[in-house]
Amino acid sequence: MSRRCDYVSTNLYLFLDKEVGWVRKTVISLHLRRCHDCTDRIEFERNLRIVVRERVREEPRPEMVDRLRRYLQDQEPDFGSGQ
Amino acid sequence: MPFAHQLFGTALRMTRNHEEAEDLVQETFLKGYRSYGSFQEGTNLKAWLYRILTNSFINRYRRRQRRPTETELGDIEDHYLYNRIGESGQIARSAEDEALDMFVDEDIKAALESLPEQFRLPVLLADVEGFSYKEIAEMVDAPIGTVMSRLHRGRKALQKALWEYAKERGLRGAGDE
Repeated sequence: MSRRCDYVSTNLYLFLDKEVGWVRKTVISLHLRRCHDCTDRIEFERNLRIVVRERVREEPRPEMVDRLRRYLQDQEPDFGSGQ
Repeated sequence: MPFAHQLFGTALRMTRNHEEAEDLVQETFLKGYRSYGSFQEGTNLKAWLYRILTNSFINRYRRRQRRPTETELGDIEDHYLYNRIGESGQIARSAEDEALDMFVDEDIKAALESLPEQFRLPVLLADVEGFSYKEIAEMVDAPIGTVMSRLHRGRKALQKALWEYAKERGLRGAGDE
């Protein structure tokens, strides 16, 4: 693992989170073009995040939104009147 | 009811309970309706609702636990899951991504829910809902540095929990044989 690989590893989450400035983004992007190990690692982390996001989605019971609307109307009579 | 379904999904991962999640969403919309005057048109409505949801959850949680404790997760290496899958020798180096298919939805939900609350919230808000560090810091009322640290540690702990499920599903590390 080169020093540049260490740099990418340290900044990997910031890079995936789009929280790096353009200098770090450029350095990392250039390194990824020629380092298969770092590219594999970053793609794995990216795909893991997609898997987590897609698999933990949960739909409420169908009646929840109706119940929520009724609750808000009970609490706030003007709710839904467009006032 | 904008974002009601998304808010419910997050509330469920926060509370780990259907009824409590519905209550939390109700509370969020009621507070949102009553304080709508403080919402600035043109800003991010989703982030504003999530801030109310998160605050409501934290207030409930703190009410129950009089003294919230800082949980330690131990020292977990970076890229934990990637390294373990690579070491297992059962999956080709080029096929780590395919290994993710072995997880069923319940494994991932359980792994996420196993995280202590202060780590679960940043992971949920960043990785599931896609909020920025700054937005999360405002939601959980913590400095950005704290959010980054908890997010980093939470992600590593999530990977460790997922690896435990992977082992249960028959993917054994070379050292386990």
